[in-house]
Order: sequence, then C-alpha cells, then structure tokens
Amino acid sequence: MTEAIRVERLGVRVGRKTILEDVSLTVMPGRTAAIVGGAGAGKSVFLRTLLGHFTRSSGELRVVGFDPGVNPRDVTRHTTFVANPDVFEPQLTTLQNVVHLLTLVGAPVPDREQLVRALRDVDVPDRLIDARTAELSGLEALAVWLSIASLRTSSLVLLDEPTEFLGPADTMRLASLLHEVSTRGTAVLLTTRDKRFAEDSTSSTYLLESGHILPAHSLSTVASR
Amino acid sequence: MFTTLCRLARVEILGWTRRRSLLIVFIGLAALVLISIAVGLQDLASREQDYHAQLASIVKEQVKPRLPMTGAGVERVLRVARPAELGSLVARGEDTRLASYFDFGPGGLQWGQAAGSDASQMQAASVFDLESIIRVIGGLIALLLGIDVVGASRFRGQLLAWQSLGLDPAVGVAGKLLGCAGLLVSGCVLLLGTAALATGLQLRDDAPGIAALLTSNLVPIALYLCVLAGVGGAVALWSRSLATASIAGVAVWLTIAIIGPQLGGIAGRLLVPVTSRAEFERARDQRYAEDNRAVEDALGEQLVEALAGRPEQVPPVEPDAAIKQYETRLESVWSARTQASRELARSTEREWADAQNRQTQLNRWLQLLTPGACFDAATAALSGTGGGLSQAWLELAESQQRQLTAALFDNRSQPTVRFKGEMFAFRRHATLRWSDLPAPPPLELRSRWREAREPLLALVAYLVLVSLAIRAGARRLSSGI
Repeated sequence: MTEAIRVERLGVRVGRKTILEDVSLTVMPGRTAAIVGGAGAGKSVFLRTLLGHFTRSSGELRVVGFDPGVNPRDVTRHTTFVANPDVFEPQLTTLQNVVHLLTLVGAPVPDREQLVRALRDVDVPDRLIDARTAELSGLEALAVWLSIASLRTSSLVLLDEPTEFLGPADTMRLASLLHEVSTRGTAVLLTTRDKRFAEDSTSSTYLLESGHILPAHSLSTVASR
Repeated sequence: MFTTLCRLARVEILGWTRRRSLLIVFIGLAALVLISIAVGLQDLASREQDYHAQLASIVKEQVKPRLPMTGAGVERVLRVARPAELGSLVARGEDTRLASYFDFGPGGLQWGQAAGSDASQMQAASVFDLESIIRVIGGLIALLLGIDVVGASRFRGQLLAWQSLGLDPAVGVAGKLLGCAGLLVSGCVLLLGTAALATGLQLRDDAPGIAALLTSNLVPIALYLCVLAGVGGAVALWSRSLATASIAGVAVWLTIAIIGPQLGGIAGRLLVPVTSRAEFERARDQRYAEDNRAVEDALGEQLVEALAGRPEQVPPVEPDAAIKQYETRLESVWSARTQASRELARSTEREWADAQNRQTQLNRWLQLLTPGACFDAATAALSGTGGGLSQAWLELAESQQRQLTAALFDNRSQPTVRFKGEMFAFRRHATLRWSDLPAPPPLELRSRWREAREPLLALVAYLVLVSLAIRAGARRLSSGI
C-alpha cells in the first residue's frame, strides 16, 4: 500500500532561517497522525511544505504519491487542508458555500441530495445547511470542511491546529469525526499543542521541537519531566 | 478562469450589497453629489450672469478706447467677453490661465484681465465639484474597499484555504477585486445618474449637454477608482497585518489623491518659471506706454512744425498744403508705428505664451506621475474645461483678430485731423458698430477625448502596474514568504 505521506530527512529553510531539519515520518491511508509542538515549532510550515507552498532544502517527500515540489496541483487535488475553518463567505448559506468552493476548484458538484447527505454524515445539523455560515460553531465549520474533503474524495486531510478554539466537548466530538473519516480510508494528519488530544485521538503522535521530530518515546519522556 | 473570476466577483458583489454600511456610504456620497451639483449650477449661473453684465457693458460702449497703441485715445479697441464655461460641474470652473475678455485693436490681440470673474472666485465650486469629491472621497472609499476585500480574505486564511484546494491566490484576489470594481462602477453609474437627474431638475436649457459631459466622465472615474481599489488590494497583500495595510493605504491615498496632483504643478513652476499673467500684463502695458510717449512726442513735434504761426482752427475745414503734408507724414509714421506695435504685441505675447506652453507641456508629463493628477486631467478634458478649451479660445480670438484687422484696420478710411483740448486726434475708420463686426463663431463645449487620451492611457498603465503588483504579492503569499 502506498503511503499517504512519506517524509525522509526533510529540511526546509525560509530565507536564512532553518525551520525544519531532518524530519522523517510516514502516515498510511486510513490512519490518523498528530504533530505536537508549541508556537513556532514549525508545524504549519511542515503542513504547507506537504502542499508545496514551501520548497524543501533537503530530503525526500511524497504526498499521496506525488512530490509536492514537482506536482503541487496533483497533491492539492487529492488533499484537503484546513487551517482556519471559518473562511466561508458569510453572505452564502452552508450549502451554497460548499457548492461555491467545489466550483472554484473545478471539482464535480453533486446534486443537492448528495450534498446534504455529505453534510449530515459529518453531523452538520439540518437547520444549518440552508443557514448563513455565521451561525456555524467552530466544530461545525470543521465538519463542513470534512464534508468537502469527502465530496472531493480526498485521500488526505491536513488540519492545522483544529482544536485551537474548541471546548473540551467539541474536542472529543472532533476526535470521533476524525475517526469516522479515517475509517473511510482517508489519511489524517493534524497539528496541535494539545498532547492529550493527540494521544487519545490519533494512531501516531510526533513531537516537533525547534524544527526537529523527536522519537515517539520522547513524548512520554518529555511529559514525565 | 474567466468563469471562476466572474463567480468570485458575483459572490463579492452579493456580499457587499447585503452590507448596510455600503448603503449609508452611498447615500452620503449621493448627498455630496447633490450639493456639488447645486453649488456648481449656482456657480455657473453666477458666471453667466457676470458674462451677460460684461457683454451689456461692452454693447453700451460699442468700442472702448482702452489701449494707447499709437497715442492716447487715438485708436479704439473692440472688446469681446469670453462666455461662461459649461463644464464646471465635473471639473474646476473657469480656466484662469485664459483672459475673461479679449481686446481687439489695430496693434493686435490683447488679453484682458486673466483673473476670473467674481463668481468664479467662489471657492466652494473648486472644493465641492464632482471631480474633487470622486478623487478624494471616492478614492478613499475605493482604496479601503480594496484593502478590506483582499485583507479580510488574506488575514482570515481564505486565500490560503483556496490555495490549498488548488485555486491560484492571484485568481482569487483578482476575482474579489473584479467584484469590487463592478461594485464601484455600478456605484459611479448611480452617482452620475443622480448628478444628471439633479441637473435636469434645475430645468436648464443646457441640461442635456451637461448630462452628456457628466456621463463622458464615467470612463476616467471607473478607471481611477479601479486603480485605487487595486492599490488597496496590493497594499493588503504586501502588508504584514490589516492594521499596517490600513495605515499604508491611507498614506498611499494621501499621496495619490491629495499631494500627488499638486506636486506636478509645483515642480512645473519651479522647473519652468513663468511670470504670472497679471505681472506680464503690467510690464507689457508699461512698455507700450513708454513706446507711445516717444511716438506722441515725435508726432507732436511734427504737428507743431506743420501748424507753426497758425491760429487755432477747429477743425481745419479746408486743410491747406502744410496740413496735407503733415497728414502724409503722419500717415507714414502711423503705419510704421502700427506695424511696430503689432510686432511688439505679437512678440511679447509669443514670449509669454511660449514659456506658458513649455510649462504646460512639462505639467502634462508630470501629471502622468500620479493617478490622481491623471484623473484630474482626463476629467478636465472630458468636461470641456481642460487645456484644449484654452487653446480653442485662443485660436478663436486670433482668427477674430485677423478678420477684424482685414475688415477695419487695414482697409481704413483717410485720416482726419481734429484738435481742441487734446494735442491731436486721429480717426482711422468709420464709427464702429457692434453689428458691423464679424460675430465670433460659437465655441463648441464638448468632451475632448483626444486631449484625454494621454491621462486615460496613463490610468490604464497604472491599472496594469497595480495588477502586476497584486500578482507578485499573491505569488509571494503562495510561496509562503
């Protein structure tokens, strides 16, 4: 089985500053993984490097079978990236926003029934489907993005700090949603500062510190300190 | 890509039309436009009234012995007032570079006072004209709209989200700005419609003409506002935060809309200094006076010599041989002096006009350096009040002078000597009547597209430059810098 993400000894420099160095990790399809790190650890840069937004300075990189430095379009076609979920057009309804985004990126737009089903699958309440997106909570906005990923048949979902503005209950619901997404064969990689959420909701957890991925066992070592 | 752009633009317009703030801004602008139209029409009416008063005064005097061309009171001068201009509703009113009236005499064309009439001194007209409202207030709104549209999209991560889904951020920004431009153009159409309606409500005979001038300004207005919105978008893309973008945007707006349009004129005056029209006229009149005193002295001496030993005769009914001889000599002196005066008039006017032209040419190039100045120049040309109007008036006045010279001064009657109370008097032609004069052809007040071509092209060039800056900014974002 081809890995959804395969990173070997990745190095990224932005200007003169080294952001990532010697980073290696693998995420298989249908698995969820988390990168835990503090502010400025390089989590967002790592995710955006996977999409080809940053150019690597060293190492090997394969995302959904493509090199993002060479084929960024192929990578984005099979990947859904969510940084801030609340980027919808406030003047449109939830459903209109989904259609708008699918149309913009040239993805096929299914009929209303399928769209509604996709939104219901990720627990978006019926009353919000035809309501303006201003009424969506943080978790519901994330859920809409997960439905977009499903409608685009993305092989990989990348989430940049999805728990940042979520309460404890919503964080737990998100873990459950991500589990459902992964059971459909989609790989999920998220970044977070919440170690417990990472350990509880994902199958692999990596600790990113000062641009370096520490070995898996270091997480508990660091925690015990 | 075109469909994507249109879709983005449509969603953007939909979003703005649902904002109440936009409606408030539009109502505010419409109110300002109505005030500007009211002030402009009042200004225009005052200038027309002033013009008719001047004309009545001229008709009463018929001919005005004003310029001492060949001796005080010898040659009479015809005066023609310049009609009030129409286009002051959009661009600034009377062009003070041009005289408010022209004097036509045997010595050649003389400009009257360059200062505008009392009515054109109304400062409100140059503050509240549509052009200023759109350049300053409209420009600020367009720029803030550009910053808001792109900045909001960028700083809340929408551009990043689109990019990660495979949409080029440059296309996303372009689509949003296209919507913004569509909104601005629709707003302009509505505002100009309001202006035209307000003009129509004044029940003026020339309302259709004024409305046509107003509508012809839609092109520079739309281009200028699109440039400003684009600048706002570029500033938002190149700034680190929305606050920085807003501060930088206001600084750019000040430069483009307020400081820039004045810099060209200041630099032009410094690089090519030209004496003011009033100073030039003072110096010219003094030169004529000195010249004429010398002629009077020479003619006086000859007259004294011709009339030596004679008792005073008023007028000499039967001129004797001495008088006839004097008349012959006087005729040659008169011809020579008229020729010299014409030359003097022409050369001094030409010198001043050449310097003025050099400055105008330089200003024309300098004004291309900021979009605000380009907008000013384009609207002035399309409103019929630009440099082209001045040129047209000058050409008209010169052609009138040529006709008058041929009709009245070069084909003159024989001189007659009269004297009592004055040293001498000289009637060169039959008494002039206003109706004898060839009527000046009416000056066509219209949009001068050819004159507006350069500033319009410059605005298009600015639009291209801004698009490139937006594209570069979007690329910079997408490469994660």
